[in-house]
Amino acid sequence: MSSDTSESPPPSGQLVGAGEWVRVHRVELEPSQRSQNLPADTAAVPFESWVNGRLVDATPLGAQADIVTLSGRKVRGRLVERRPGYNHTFGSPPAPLLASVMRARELLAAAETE
Amino acid sequence: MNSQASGTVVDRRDAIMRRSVGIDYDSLRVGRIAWDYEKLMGTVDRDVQEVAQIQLQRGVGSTQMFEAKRLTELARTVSAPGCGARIFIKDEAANPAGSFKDRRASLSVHEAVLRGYEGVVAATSGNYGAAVASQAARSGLKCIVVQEAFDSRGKGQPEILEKARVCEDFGAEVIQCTVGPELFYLFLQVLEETKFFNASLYTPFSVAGIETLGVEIVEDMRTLTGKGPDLVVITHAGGGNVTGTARGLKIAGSTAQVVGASVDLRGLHMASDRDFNRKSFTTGHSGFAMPFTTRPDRSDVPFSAARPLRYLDRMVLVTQGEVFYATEMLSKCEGLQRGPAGNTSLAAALALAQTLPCDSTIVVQETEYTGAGKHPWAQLGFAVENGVEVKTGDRSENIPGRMIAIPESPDELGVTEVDLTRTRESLIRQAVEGVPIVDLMPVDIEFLADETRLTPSELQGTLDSLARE
Repeated sequence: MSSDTSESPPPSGQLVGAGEWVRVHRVELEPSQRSQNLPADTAAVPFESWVNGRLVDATPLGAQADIVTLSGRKVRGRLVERRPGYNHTFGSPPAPLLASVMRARELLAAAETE
Repeated sequence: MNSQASGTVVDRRDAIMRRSVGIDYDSLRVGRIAWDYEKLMGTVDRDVQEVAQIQLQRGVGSTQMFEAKRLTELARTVSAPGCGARIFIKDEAANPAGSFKDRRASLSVHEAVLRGYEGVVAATSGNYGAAVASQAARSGLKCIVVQEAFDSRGKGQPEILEKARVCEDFGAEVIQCTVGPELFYLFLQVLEETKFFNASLYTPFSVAGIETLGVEIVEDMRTLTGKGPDLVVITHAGGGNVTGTARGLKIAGSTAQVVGASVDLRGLHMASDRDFNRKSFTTGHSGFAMPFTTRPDRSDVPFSAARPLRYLDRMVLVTQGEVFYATEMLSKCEGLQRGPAGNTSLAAALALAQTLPCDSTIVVQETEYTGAGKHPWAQLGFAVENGVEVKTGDRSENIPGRMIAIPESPDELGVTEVDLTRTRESLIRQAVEGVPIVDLMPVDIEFLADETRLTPSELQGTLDSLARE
């Protein structure tokens, strides 16, 4: 899923049909090829990219695939996801924010009764 | 892409830029370090009324200014007698893609259409991508947005994922990358491959597109209060927002104090894989604001049209906890759900209002839309997932990347002043790097004076001390 690539299912070899909306992954630069003067944590990992598009030919998940993107570019990368989407959420109200709200309401109410 | 390829594409950078922006930056050079800033802005070749007309046709601008009466009242509950400035908010979230960035994108895309480009490319993880994608969609242009989106674990900040969703929804191709400055090589490669227009945030079109916002602010305030604003707070990162808004304020004859507000994320490295997800939102990051203020040309074009030190009267930092506080109060006291971009300025405004007279006015010059991923609940949840502690507490308890302390009461809000004298010295130091001070020409001195707003004698003092080093 696009919102969290770390939770993508491991490539299963399942065949994805031509024309499906998919996501490919590319290692753009191995750590040894990266820019100089990077912080150590960044220098130790590859520079990667992900792009979504329509699959050109039927390809098993995990294999190299060609896609055509929304701008019409042809991009080749490892097929990592079928029908990538978005699942980021609103979350739930954290207690500290609620405390601030209660305090603000008290202050405003006191000011109004003055 | 490999290191050899990235080296080659960087070697061709100037040619790629000239073709993709249509500006011959070399022709602007006038001294050893000096170049003609107003000539660069002049490439827009339209006055602010013409820009406003273009934006009007594209559904951009003429947003509502409203008085945040309950927030003003809240600030006054803890202000000294006679203090508590009136707070006004310019609701830029009403633009088609939900932020003031539509103003920047509208003029860039308009230019791309006039010049016959087939598409536009923007390198941005922020609202600007959505704005360019939206404007491109209106014009039938193709669009590519290159985003820094994930750390090496593949974890993405909720806010950036939301931006990707919006861009894709507007029909743009989104290239999502891991953390690192190499995004620029990828950006150059895409420009070279597609021959699309570089809708950089730092072209004169992008900055001139914001001038209309400054003009509208003055007009709105004259209508609402009978005079221009006393102080305008502008969320500040790359410098375009400050530059464009302040230029517009000047065009409209405003004498308002221009205050840049950024989120204090000092200590978090912009290029660190680990630090990337230890910030809660991408807006107004001090890690962008400080380097872009002292070295504006670190951007994706040879000479940036965003030159914040030419316009800033003050620069302040607020904490992430204060921005979350401001966001929550805007929602609970004014009934407006808006995102962190404008609320960075709002946090500063809530603090500054407490120090200013009741009859003075502060304008928060933007809002942005909010939604899943951009909302404080999502962002604070993400912070906790990434090992950041979230609690009720004073601004002094905030530690970027480790602790978000949310004020309980408005009197716990404040601002940290950035020393602009030192910032100006830093700009001069970087501008003259590699050039012996004695070789500077009069035009270079004049350029540095414009860049820093220092008097000739103040500037000479700084140069003398640099020459002695």
